[in-house]
Order: sequence, then C-alpha cells, then structure tokens
Amino acid sequence: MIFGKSLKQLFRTPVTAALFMVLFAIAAFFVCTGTIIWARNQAAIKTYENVFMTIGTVRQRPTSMEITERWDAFTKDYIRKSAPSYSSIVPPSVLDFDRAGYMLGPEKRPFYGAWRPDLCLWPEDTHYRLNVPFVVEVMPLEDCVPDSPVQVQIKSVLGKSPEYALLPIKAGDVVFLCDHYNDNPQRLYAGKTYLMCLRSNGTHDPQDVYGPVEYVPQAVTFSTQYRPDGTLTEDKITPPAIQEVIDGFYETEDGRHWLEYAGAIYNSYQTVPVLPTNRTQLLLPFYNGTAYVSRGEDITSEEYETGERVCLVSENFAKLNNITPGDTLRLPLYFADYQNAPNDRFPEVDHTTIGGAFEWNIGSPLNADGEPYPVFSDHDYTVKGIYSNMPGTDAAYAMGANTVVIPAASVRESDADNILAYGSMKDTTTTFQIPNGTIETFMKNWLLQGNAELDFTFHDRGYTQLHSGLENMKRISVLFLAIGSAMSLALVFFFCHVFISKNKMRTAIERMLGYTRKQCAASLLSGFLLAAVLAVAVGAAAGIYAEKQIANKLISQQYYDTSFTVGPLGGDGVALKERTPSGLYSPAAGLALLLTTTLVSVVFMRGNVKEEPLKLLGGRKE
Amino acid sequence: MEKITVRQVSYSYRTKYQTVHAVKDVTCTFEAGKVYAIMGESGSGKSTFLSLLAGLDLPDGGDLMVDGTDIREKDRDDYRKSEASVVYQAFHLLPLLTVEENVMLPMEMNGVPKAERKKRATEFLKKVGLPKEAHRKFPKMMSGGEQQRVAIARSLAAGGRILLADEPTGNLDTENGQNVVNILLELAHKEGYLVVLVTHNPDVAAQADVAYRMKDGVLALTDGMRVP
Repeated sequence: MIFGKSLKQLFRTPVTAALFMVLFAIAAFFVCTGTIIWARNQAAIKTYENVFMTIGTVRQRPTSMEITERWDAFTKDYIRKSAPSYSSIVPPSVLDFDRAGYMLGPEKRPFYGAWRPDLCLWPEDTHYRLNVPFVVEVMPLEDCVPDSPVQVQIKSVLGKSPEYALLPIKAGDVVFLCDHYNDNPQRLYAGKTYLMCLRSNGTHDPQDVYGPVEYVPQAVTFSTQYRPDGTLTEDKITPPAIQEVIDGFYETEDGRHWLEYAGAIYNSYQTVPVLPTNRTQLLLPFYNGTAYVSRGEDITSEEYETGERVCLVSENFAKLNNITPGDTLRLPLYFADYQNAPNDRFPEVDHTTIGGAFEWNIGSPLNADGEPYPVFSDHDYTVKGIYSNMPGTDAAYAMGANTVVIPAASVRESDADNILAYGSMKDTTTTFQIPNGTIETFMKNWLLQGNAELDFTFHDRGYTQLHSGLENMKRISVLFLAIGSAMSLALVFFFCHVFISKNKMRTAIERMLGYTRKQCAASLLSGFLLAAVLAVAVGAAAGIYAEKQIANKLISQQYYDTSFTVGPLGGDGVALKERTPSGLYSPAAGLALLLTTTLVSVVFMRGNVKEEPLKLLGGRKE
Repeated sequence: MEKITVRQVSYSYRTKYQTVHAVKDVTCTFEAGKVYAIMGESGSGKSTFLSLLAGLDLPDGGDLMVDGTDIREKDRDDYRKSEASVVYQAFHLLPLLTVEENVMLPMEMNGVPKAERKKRATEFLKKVGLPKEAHRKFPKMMSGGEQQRVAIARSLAAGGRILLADEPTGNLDTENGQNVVNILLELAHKEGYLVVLVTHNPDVAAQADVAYRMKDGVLALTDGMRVP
C-alpha cells in the first residue's frame, strides 16, 4: 500500500524520476564496469604472478675475439676461426650486489659426472653412431706422411673394457689416418707403433659422403684441474698428438699418463651428466617449456631447499634403463665441470632419427696428478619424475644427453678437488630469478655497480608486455571507479535532496494523518530505492556486457599469448582462464552502490522524520 | 461522546535565541456537537495549542484528557489516525496524489478495503460540495476553497470525530471562507463532530458556539461569551 503510493508519487514527476534513473544507471555502469575490470585485473595479476616467472641469464663479455688459423688438409689452406677470449674470469660473486632483489640465485651451475658403466646410455644397436675420441696404437702399412688419408692398422685400443665394447673400432682394423689439421705432419714409418687419440672426422672430402671415413689424431691435454677460485692447479700436461711407442714407453711417466688417459677417456663415455640446480625452472629448457616433467612429479621447492636426494631423469635415459618414478638411481660423482653445460659435453641426440652421432667428450679427464678423478660423492637418489625433451629445439639450450637433474643442496660433499674445467659465466650455466616486473629496477641497480663485463638476458614469457597491459587496465578500472563513485555520490546526495529533503512537508502531512515515522520513511524511500535498484540493475547489466567485450579482447587474447607457454604451461593457460573472476563482481558492486544509496537516503530521511510536524505544518512560528 | 478536557496545560519550546512559552496554564473543555473558535494575534500560541489538541506534540505541564484518557497515555499516531484530524490554512494536501487519492489516504491507513475507500471518498467529497469531475484532479489544479474542502473531506475520511481547523479560511475569499465555515458548522451541529477552529477572523469566530481569545499563551473567553 505504502510502497504503491510511494511509487505512484515518484512517477508522477516522470522527468525527475527518469533523469535520476538514467544518470544513476550510467553511474552504476561506471562503478560496475570499473569493479569487474579491477577485480579481473587483480585476479589476473595474482594468477600471472604464479604462472609467470622472470629469470635472468648471465654471460661474460669476451675481452676480445681471438683469430686462430687451422690447416685443412683437404683444401690445402688455412681456415680462420674466431673464438672469444677472456683476460680474466669474472666470479659469480659480483652478482651479489645491493638491491639485486633475487628470489633465487644467482647460481653458476657446474655439472657433475657420475660414472655408471652398468647403465645403458644410448641404444645398443646404434654403437656406430658413437663418435668419441679413443686412444689407439696404430702401425702404418707403409712409410707415409699423413697429410692426406693413409692406411694404418689398429694394433690395439687402450683403456677399452673387454666386457663392453663401446667403440666402433677394434684391434686389427685397417683404417684411414689423416693428420688433417696439421700443416706439417710428421712422417710415419711402416713397422713402427704410434700412440694417438683418434676421432672420426667423416670423409676427407666433406662433399664426398660415400668416401671412406678418416680418423684424425686429436690434440691431447691430460689434465686441466682447477681450483675453486678458477685458477689452474698445475700447468696443463700436453703430450705430442702422435707418440712413437718404443720399448719401455709405458713405464715412463708419459706412458703412464697415456694409459690413465685412455682409461679415463673411455670411462667418460660411461658417464651420466648430473645437473645440480636450485629450481627446475632455472634451467632454460624447462623454463622455455622445451623440457617438461611428463611422468611422476617435479622436484618441489622444499626438496630443493632441504637438499633431498631426489632427481629427474630424461625420457630416453629412463627408457634405456627401464627406470620409473620412485626407482632409486645411484650417482657416484667424480668430476665437476664449471665451464660447460651438460649439452656442451654430452650433446643431446635424437634417438628416433637415423642421422646424428653421439659426440661426447669431457675434455681432459685426469687430475693434476695425472690420475682419474676419484668419486667425491656417492648416494642413491629417488627418481621423482621423468622429463621429456621436445625434439627440434635450439641445441644450444638443450638439456644434454641422459642428464639427471638434482637439487644443488643435495651434494653436501666438496667438489674442490674434482674441478675438471672452469670458465666464464654463460647463458647455459648462470641463472637467477627476480620478481616479475622488476627487470628495469634490477638493471638500474646493476649499472650502479659500474661493472661492464657481464651481459644479462631476461626471460619473462612476455610478463613485461602483459604487465604493462594490466597496468593500463588497472588505470582504466580506477578511472571508471572514480568517475562512477563520484557521480553516484553526487547523484545520491542531489536526488536525496530532491526526493527526500524537499519532501519534508509530505512527511509532516503523513505524520499528521497518523503515519508512524517508519511508515513515513517507507513512503518516501521505497519508490526512490526501487528506482535506484532498477537503475543499478540496468547499469550493472550494461557493465557486465561492456566488461566482457573489453576484457575478452584485452586480457584473454592480447595479454595472454599462449605462444609463450608451450609444454606444461599450456595447462596453466587454461587454468588461468578458469580463474578469471565470475560475473558476481558486477552484482556485488551494484549491491554496494545500493547500500550506499540506502544509507545516505536513510540519513536524509532521519532529517525528515526528526523535524516536528507541528513546526512544519504551521503550528509554531519561530 | 467526544470530550477534550484541558487543565492548566502549558507548553514551551526553544528557538535559537530564547525559550518561548507558547501556552500558559490553559484550562478549558471541548465537547462534541459544538464549534469552538480560538482567536488571537500571530504568535499568540493558538496554533501551537491546536497542535497539542491534535497530539502532534505533548504539553510540558497540565493535563490534556481525551474522553477521560490522558493524551500522554495514548498512541498519538493512532489518535491522529482515528480520533482527531487537522485542517490547515495551507490545506497540506499531497500534491502528487489526486483529490480522491488524498481523501482515500487516511482510510488506507485504517485498513479500509479499496472499494469501500472509493465509495466513502466519493461521499465525503460530495458532503463538502465537490463535484465528481474534480475527484481526479490534482490539488494544484483547484482553487483554494476547493482545496480546503478536500482537506476537510480528508479529515472526515480519517474517521475521527474531532476536527481541528487551523485558520481554515485564512487563504480563502469571503464566499469560499463562509462555505468552509458552513461545512464545519454543519458537521458539528448535524453530525455531532467536535470542531475547534483557530481564526483571525472575528466574523468566523462569531459563528462558533464558543469563542476564546488567546493572548501570549493565555486562553480566555471572548467578551459576551458564556462559559461552555
């Protein structure tokens, strides 16, 4: 009854009522749209913070490029090659500077070698693809200068395990020998025995793919042991590439070195590269999504922090050795390489294709004493997950064949006496994590250090671009909210004045007729509030529609580009969409607006009912 | 049989600068079937006194008894709804309701069914001499006299038997004013209403059964009037 009368009276001032409803609907539109955009934006920021990760990689700038000339026996000319040269190695400690704000790291990862002759490291039927250096004794079939392929007979293969013939060459084989890269090869004599480290070089003429394979003597360095500070322990021991074997040679120091070298280099092909890190995502292949845990689970942050003895193994490695998550893997670590990533020494080979060779080479496998490195850590690790490597990815950033990932903190023993190589920081070895959106701040603070020797590359999966988009959205939402709120408040106050304060007399008359204060309030407010509800409903509906148009275009399509998310992150992309806020925000904003309106109108109404009817109706002249 | 007994009633209120003693020790009695006039200058307290009779406020002192019940003990909203209604000089009709809706409003408050409300509203409007074609008009479309008649009809519609009129002819010309007075006299004398009217106009007061004069909050019978 009162409600009907209230509405009737409201709509008998149709222009004012319509003006109120239209303006209030517009204000509600702004408030609701702003709220949804803001809420969606906040949710997106929160989600992106979890999904996105900003990592930096570090590379030491070369002091200069060193040009080297190398003889090519086929073209009979020198081939020039340039290689980066460093006057000194910048230690990773320079990265510990004020206000760096790391979330993780920086870590300059070594990789370890775990000797496991009992494991299968490549398919057994593809031994012919193993192209590694090996030490042999050869006998020329005739006197010759090996400046082009000459036939020699393999007298023996040194260091080779009799139980497990890895190499595609055996004693008695006649092969072509060419000192391909020596502009002045030494003369070899028939009947004499020569010791050398050979490696297949393909055909002498690279174009002649059907020609015979030639073997080339390798330059040998027995030892390159480093101290933890990056200095060499002893001078490198470098024997001649071709060593004549005379009676009693193996009893000499050089001879003993050759024998140790042969054994150690052979053992290196039975070595599993082990990569310690502080987070799986700090490894670029995992970060880029070209490697991802396909079975089992990833190593958790807690396991990384506490140094649990858990590991991730590659799919090929797991397949070759019938390993499943939960199995135990023994890792007797015997060397640490602080110069290379596993893929530099154990390049990944696609097992599924015919081409390609297993070209593994750990360099100088002996320590400064000319002996094989002893095992410094030997523990069982539980296989937590098996990771897949996407084929056809950038080889420079591949994981490396058979690489086992472990928490860095799980290696508690010192590797100080087992450092086989030490080099400058590289993209593939040095990584850190910083909070999303802080690349500029990081670089600003780094530049304050005045160090110009390092280059940084940041990877954020497009977060910076996304973040700037989100900031724009935030600004839009705040603008909408500010306009909407200011407009709403102004309208509420103005129309409360029009519909309530200016109707004091109506309240007094109704009081005079016997309405209670509550009934008077209901009489004035119900129509006004219903009009507000209708206006807010229209504004909120328009807000939902507009927000869908804006947000779907801006957030879902532009900002969240799935090209940044291959592998497992694609899943997060889907989850991200699901986590965007529901349509409840618009009604919630509308409700808040209505509550504010109700509150303000009630305050105005209190002013009306507080006024004594006696005074208003003319009973008292003040 | 409505009867209002006023004994030593006083009322004061505060303005920004002073306390105004609007009604001082007023004692009188109002009975049904009679018209009482209260005359006085502006600010003499007559309208305030009428508001006290209407239950719009309570006396500071003294007793105001309606049919033997102290007005303080009554639900004053109910009292105004069903016992006493007021007619003002400014009519105080709700401008956004039609004449008929204005008259029906008090009946709505008393829970009278819609059809009955409509029927009775027509009767009351007829009683105050308003033609049917005026029923759907808005107050602003009518003359002052017509509006005052609507206000009287609305008072009657409330169902109370006490009619309090504050300068009911103040905004009307002589002819319309007399018509309104006639209506009030008729309501008292023929239908037994208790009518109290406040007026400046001695001609109007002269037609009342009892006329009081109020000065500085004090009520006294006018010369030549007998004690009621």
